[in-house]
Amino acid sequence: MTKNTIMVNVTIPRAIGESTSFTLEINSTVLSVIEKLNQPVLKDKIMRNDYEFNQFSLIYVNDRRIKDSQIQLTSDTDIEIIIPMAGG
Amino acid sequence: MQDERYIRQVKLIGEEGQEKLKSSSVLIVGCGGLGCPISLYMATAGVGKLTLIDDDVVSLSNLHRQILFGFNDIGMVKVDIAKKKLLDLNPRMEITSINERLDINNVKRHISNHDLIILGCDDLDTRYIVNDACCDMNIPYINASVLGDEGSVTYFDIVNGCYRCIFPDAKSNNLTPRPEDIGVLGPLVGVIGTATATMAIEILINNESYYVNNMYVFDSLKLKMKGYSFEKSHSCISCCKQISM
Repeated sequence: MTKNTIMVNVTIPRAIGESTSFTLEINSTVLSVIEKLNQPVLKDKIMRNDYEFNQFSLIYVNDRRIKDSQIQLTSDTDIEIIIPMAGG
Repeated sequence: MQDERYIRQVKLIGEEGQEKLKSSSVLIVGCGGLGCPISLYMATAGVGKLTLIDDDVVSLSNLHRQILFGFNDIGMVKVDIAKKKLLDLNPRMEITSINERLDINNVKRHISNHDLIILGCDDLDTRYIVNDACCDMNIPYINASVLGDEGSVTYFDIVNGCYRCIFPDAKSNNLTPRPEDIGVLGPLVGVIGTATATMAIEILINNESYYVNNMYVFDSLKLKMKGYSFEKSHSCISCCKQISM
């Protein structure tokens, strides 16, 4: 039987959001993952628009940095969000 | 004759490595939560010349994480107390304390004549000021930072990229939470500070290639430090400007 869902783990700095895991349909985009997080403040912070990430957020998908939020996810995925830290 | 103080370390890095540390000059920007453990290990490792710059005085709210300072130091100039305590640990090193705020007008004067800059300050503006000056002067640096119970340490050799390659501009941004709003877990600055000091020592003995183009992020709930690769931006207004000159 063909698997038509994938598992997505999203890691978010605790200062701006809450990390979570969920299942999604295969070929979902990174943007749809961010929308499914249902954390509107987070989305406002990390997205410049529906296609581009804010230049202050780094998005890694399975350890590779991506800049296009429309990339489709075809297998189980780890998404990690990194923001600059100012404290010392 | 080999200094008995460094016998265990020399077994690992050799006499040549120890000599490199002794002939090294390091500037630490910020004498707070990160600057304290970083400077402690720079001093005890045998770095020959250490410069500390910070314009702050010790306050009660510093004491849960700034391990060079005690209750009786409250109200005293941080860099002066730090210099005294570090010289007590290692009187054979040279320490310069500068009780000033690093800014765009004095940054080049203060970072010149150092082999490595370590950033442990408490704001983004200073990080960009130092980044741009290091790019202009081709001085490598380590950016250490914390936020809540997470932290990060990144080495920039300038040739292969700089902070602006990753985060181009801070000026119009309100994404990054302010440290004073989020707070910080006391021991976390010890974790990031000692990781930074470890990285600095390895860089000073020529093992820097292991760290190039990697940003290390520590999560205290996972007790895990993970490296994230980054690339030089060929449109970077800082490090690419330096190369094209």
